[in-house]
Amino acid sequence: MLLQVKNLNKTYRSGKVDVKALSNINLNLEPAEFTAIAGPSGSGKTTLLNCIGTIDRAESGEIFLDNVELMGKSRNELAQLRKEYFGFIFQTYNLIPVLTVFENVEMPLKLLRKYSGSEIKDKVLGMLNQVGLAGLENRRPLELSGGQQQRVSIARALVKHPKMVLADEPTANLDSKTGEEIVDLMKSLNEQEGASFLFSTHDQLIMKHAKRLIKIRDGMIES
Amino acid sequence: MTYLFKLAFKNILRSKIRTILTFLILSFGVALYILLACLMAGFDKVSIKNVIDFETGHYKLRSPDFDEDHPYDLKNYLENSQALKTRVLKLGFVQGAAERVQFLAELDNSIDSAPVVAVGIGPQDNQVFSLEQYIIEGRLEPGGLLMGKSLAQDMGLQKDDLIYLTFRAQQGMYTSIEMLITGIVNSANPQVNNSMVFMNLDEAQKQLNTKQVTDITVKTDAFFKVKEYEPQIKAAAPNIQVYSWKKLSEDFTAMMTMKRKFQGIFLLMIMVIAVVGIVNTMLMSVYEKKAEIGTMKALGFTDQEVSNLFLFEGFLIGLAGGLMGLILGTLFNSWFYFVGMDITAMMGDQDIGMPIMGVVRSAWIADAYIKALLFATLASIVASYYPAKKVTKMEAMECLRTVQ
Ligand SMILES: Nc1ncnc2c1ncn2[C@@H]1O[C@H](COP(=O)(O)OP(=O)(O)OP(=O)(O)O)[C@@H](O)[C@H]1O
Ligand SMILES: [Mg+2]
Repeated sequence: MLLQVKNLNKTYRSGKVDVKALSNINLNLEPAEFTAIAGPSGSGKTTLLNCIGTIDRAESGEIFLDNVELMGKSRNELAQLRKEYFGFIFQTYNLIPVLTVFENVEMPLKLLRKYSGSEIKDKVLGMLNQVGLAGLENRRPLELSGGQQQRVSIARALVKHPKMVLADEPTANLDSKTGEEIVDLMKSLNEQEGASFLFSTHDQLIMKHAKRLIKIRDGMIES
Repeated sequence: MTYLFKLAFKNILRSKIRTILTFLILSFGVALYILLACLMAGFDKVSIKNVIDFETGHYKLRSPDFDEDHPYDLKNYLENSQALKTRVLKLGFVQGAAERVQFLAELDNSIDSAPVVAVGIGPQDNQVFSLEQYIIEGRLEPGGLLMGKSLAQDMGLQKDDLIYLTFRAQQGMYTSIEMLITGIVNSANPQVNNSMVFMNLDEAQKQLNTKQVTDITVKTDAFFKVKEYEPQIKAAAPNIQVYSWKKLSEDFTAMMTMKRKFQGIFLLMIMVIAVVGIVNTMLMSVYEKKAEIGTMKALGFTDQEVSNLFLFEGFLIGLAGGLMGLILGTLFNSWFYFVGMDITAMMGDQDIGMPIMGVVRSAWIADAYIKALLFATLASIVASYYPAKKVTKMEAMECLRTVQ
């Protein structure tokens, strides 16, 4: 088993009101899965993905990645862990605007500090080829369409061959045709690379592509 | 580390107007500081030269009874000056010694009168003083008088005019003599120009009815070796008061110290402006880059790594601003070095507390360059520290939520 979530709870405190964002979440993910989290707005999709991706902390429960417990780790340890294990794809792409496509994609590899310059170059160009952006490596993000930017973001998430790719509404900012292309791309990369994908969406069309669907409502898993 | 540095560099290269403005202010401050320091140093240099060449030499030897509060009192006279002079001249590093007799007198052109310092100068005066090189008209002739240009102008006098000089001789009697102006001197020392007249030593002594002199002025081979030479001079002149030029010009050396302090304050002000500007710029940049910071943290940048990114950015702004300031400062200072600044044209005959007049040039002070660059860079790093700390504390999730 790749990921195991046990009894995860998360409450947001904004002012005097407590918002229970996640209650008693239990979830298991195998390697190379392609799983969608679906649910209405405010149901806790983003919160769940953030907690799994270790960029948000739950208040109770356990998360195991490859049988390693994550909740007890320090901020620093978690950052190191994200460097290796997690790839993130964002709804708003979140590319670094001052960097070229190539520089954006190479960033995770640079952070790992274990590849030489030529290895990095091969990997980045190969990855860009896989996401269909060959030849665009010197463009800047703002010189690309939304779909192309999301492809860069996917390349950035996958270039280091992470065990898990977390994508919070990766298609929400795209038109439905482009959205489907992006999910298709994610799916084919899931098959080629063997990374386990967990993505959230509230788009019926996108959900159909998932091999497994987790429905969430009011912070609780329905099915 | 190098990767973070490159990232910071890229951020700077594509920086906003705001960053460029901060950078410009910083470089301008650095340039002004350099200009100030170099100008002041130039002024000091000329001041020292003018004091030494026209007033103090490197040392003055005076009678043990010499009273500083009444420097022109006739009781101050130095006895056996000839023997003393010979002894001092035997010291290897002494290049010249000149006897002068100084007394207060009233200069009268039969319409107006003005108090002056009258100076009798010996034949070897030019071994120590630069007076002779600054004579613009005529020369000092037997029975004649040499006079500062400004004083002559004020009194409406010219070469070959006759004046009366009234003074008290040794026995206390007032004496009034008629003298011919045989030369005009236009020196770089305002005091010489405004209030001094010169005559031959033997004539002055005759009028004063004395064989003595006020002091012997000594010039050595290096003005900055004041401390080093002093004991030897003192040994050659036992029971004689020995004053170095530093001691004699305490007034304006005190001013030099003041100026140093003023420069220090100026540097501090630049630092404060830089710090405020950079803190502001960096904070804005941090808030604007919230999404980027969140993304980088999600990608696995540690808090330290993201914070370093901003520290490097501050460091680079400081370094680049500092270097730009050095270039600007060099440009500014070049003008004052090659063209100079006409103090007299700017300030007129006003006493500016420094023995300088005419065109004064700036100097080049390496020390100011090093200090300015160091401070600019340091200030920028210090200023980036707080914004960088802020970045450390920011939660990736919060940063990301702001955009979604
Ligand atoms: N920082 C926060 N402070 C307070 N409440 C929050 C915060 N973030 C989320 N919440 C609340 O937690 C609940 C779950 O939010 P979450 O963003 O996970 O939902 P979501 O399923 O991603 O919604 P959407 O589809 O709109 O993105 C919501 O009720 C939301 O209002
Ligand atoms: Mg959401």
